[in-house]
Amino acid sequence: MKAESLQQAQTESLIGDICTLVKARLSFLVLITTFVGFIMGTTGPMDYLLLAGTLFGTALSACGAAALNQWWEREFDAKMKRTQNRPLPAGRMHAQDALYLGIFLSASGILLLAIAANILTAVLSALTVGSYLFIYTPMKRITSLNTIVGAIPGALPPMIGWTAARGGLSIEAWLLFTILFLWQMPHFLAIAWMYREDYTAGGFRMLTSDDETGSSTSRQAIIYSMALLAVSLLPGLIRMNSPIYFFGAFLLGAGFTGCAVRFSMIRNRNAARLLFFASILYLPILLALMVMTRIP
Amino acid sequence: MIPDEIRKKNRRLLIALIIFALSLTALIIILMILRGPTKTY
Repeated sequence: MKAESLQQAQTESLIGDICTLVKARLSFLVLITTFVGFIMGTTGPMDYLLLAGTLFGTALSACGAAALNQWWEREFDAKMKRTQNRPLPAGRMHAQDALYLGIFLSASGILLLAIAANILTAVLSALTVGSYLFIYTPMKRITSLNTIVGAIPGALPPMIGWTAARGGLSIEAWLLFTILFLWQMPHFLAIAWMYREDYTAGGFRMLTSDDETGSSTSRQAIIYSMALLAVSLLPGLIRMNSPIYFFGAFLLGAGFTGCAVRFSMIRNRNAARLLFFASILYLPILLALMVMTRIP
Repeated sequence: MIPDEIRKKNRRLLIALIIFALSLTALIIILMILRGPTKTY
């Protein structure tokens, strides 16, 4: 009985290691935003096979990029409390295994998107993986502007969904990109401020590194959340979504901005955590509202 | 000290993941080929 439960615990931890390596939660969020882009870009009846190909191709490339990112950063991850238990720094996985898996998943994901959807979609996916790995990852230790650069690959997935469904880019696709881009800033500013000592220990240069009081971080969070509020209303104004969306997006954006304002007034870990949780709630609700109120 | 057994088990799981990914990719491509072109954009 004891041996059985020990084996079960080991299996669970192995699966947990794979999920950590491919950043399962982050990759799932990428899939949700790709799905929203696809739905918003669809005109006429839904092509479920194309949707499946798009989502699976995106999942492969997102998981591959995450594995390659952890392979690249394994030595830095070992220096931070938050990341030192990941399978590579903890020594539970061979580094070359993660490298080969990352290359295989990224390449097959991009190839699948080219075959199942179109070349533009595959190019956008390659841009996402490439900018995440070769621009954002090395930039983390060079300049604090990395958060802004890192928000670009984070905002591309809805465009991938859109181009897979529509075959090209348009103003609506750029709107989705901008919403995702702006949303990430208060989200990551809150995380970076909460873990600023950990990031400094890992050698990362963050916008929050020299901001002990949180005044600069919270000011930036307010600016980005206000910009997000303004941009998030546009789909309701350009007849992409119904007026219900407009009012819903306004309320959500006002609530999110309120959390950023509260952070700037209180400037403690709890206020930063509230802003972080508000960002986690804000995005899925806004995206669901966008899908439900879309004007095809 | 992490035993090498864990790393070996993780490697087997990664290979299983690759086989799964390849199979599903092939399945989607085959289904698309069988269905033929439908894109209207």
